[in-house]
Amino acid sequence: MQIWWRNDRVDSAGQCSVSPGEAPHSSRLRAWSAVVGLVVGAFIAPLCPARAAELLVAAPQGQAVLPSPSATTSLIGLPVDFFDPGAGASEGRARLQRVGIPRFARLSPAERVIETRLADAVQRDPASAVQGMRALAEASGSPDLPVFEVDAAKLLFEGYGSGRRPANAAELGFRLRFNHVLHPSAVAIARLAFLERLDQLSALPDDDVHRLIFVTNGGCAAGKGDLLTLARSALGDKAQFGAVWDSAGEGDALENAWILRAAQKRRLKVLFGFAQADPATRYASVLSRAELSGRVVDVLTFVDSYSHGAEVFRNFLASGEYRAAVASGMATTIGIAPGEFDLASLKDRSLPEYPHAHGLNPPGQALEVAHLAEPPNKEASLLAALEILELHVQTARAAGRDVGPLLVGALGRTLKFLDDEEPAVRDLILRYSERLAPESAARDGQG
Amino acid sequence: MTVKVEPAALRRVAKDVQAALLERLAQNPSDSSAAELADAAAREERLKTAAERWKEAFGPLGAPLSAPPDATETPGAPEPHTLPR
Repeated sequence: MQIWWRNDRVDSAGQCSVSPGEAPHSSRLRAWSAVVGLVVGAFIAPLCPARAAELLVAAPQGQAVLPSPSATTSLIGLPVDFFDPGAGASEGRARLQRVGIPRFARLSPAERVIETRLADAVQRDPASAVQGMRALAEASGSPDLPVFEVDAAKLLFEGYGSGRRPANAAELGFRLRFNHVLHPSAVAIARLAFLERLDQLSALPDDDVHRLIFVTNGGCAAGKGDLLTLARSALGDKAQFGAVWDSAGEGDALENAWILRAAQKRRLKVLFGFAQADPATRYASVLSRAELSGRVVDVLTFVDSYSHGAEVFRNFLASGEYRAAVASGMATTIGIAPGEFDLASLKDRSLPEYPHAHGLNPPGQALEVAHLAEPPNKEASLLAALEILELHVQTARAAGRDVGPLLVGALGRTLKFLDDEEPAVRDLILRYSERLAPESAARDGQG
Repeated sequence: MTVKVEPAALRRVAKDVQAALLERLAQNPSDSSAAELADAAAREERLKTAAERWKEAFGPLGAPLSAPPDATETPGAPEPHTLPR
């Protein structure tokens, strides 16, 4: 048993002060730390404001708590059955106000404050938040072809900034540290706005070409965004979808069944697109993207998007509900394996950018489970991601760059999930926490 | 009310989309790449404008409450967290 100490605090403006924490490392101290931690938590912390915020805090009393990853929930998402897909958006908003956004079971004090502010604001006035998401979806696509992307909803949040890229160090630090607690609220807003759009599409004439929605799938940084960008570029006016759900890899493909039910209830067709990628290499893209956007997917969420995501996606393709929809012409799926981008193509324009790109399903046939690669091994994928993170950190440190906030987002924030993980996964995370952050910056997950 | 469904119609769209994607991935068209980059930049700018307009109208979500911190600002009670080794 080990107590994890924290020194993160949030001031009245939502800014965090960061200082190294004090983690009892040695096994000899471990038993003592448990006893001392209990004494501090129960008796001393309440008397000492400087120390009162050092332990993980539970969810506010009376609030629903996010369940562990399962058939209906990903590590940091909203349970997929939270909104009834058959009900209208207005009923979803009413449910959100009635039930509230479920909260993480354990968070650092700083995370808990941000989560509470955001979730309370969303559930207090979901209509305004949904209106903002609709505006963002139309800005990302167009009024006729809105693109709903969970991460775009975060642009509405205090502290996050309004640009795809952070405007200053404060926005960068906020994005790196608080992605987890922003996500469920962002998912709630995006799903409600999407339901609202589907309600609109259901009123179109039966033969309107916009009664078709496009849904992207794949692990984090697998190339889902490329699917959409390339589809726009390659198809031009042929891409007459009524809406696009550009899924977050963090959702572990769980939303497919929910979207299919929502579409069927409204007699809309669905084209699912799947980007297949090898998680052993993709974490490098996550880190490159984080340097630009400030949004970093932690290593556990990343790996789950491939391992849990593959399992969920395979179950979806094999489900009776989906197969019936394919047979009736109301749904189908295409699969693409883009492969790795060839850097040589930047210099030699005669070379293709993705020389190994290929389709997973034969043209004209729906993607099936048999067309997919075997699901990746979670431990092996995690180890690969951690090795990539280590290399990235070493390179950045050698260049004199501060990697503290990145390590908090990529690694430190996973500590709160370890109680639910297998021993091999826990050991890997803890081992790399000690290797990459001996000063305990990532272990303590400050800020 | 029932929808007139032609099963082959969706399959045709899917085939077109997949073929277009693969064709694009197998190319190295500098002009198209430049156009895609310009399109992405324009989209980012539209998103920023939309987010700023909304925040001006409603205020950013999760801004600290103007009232003094209350139970909302100090949720839950600190508790020891254990990690199995």
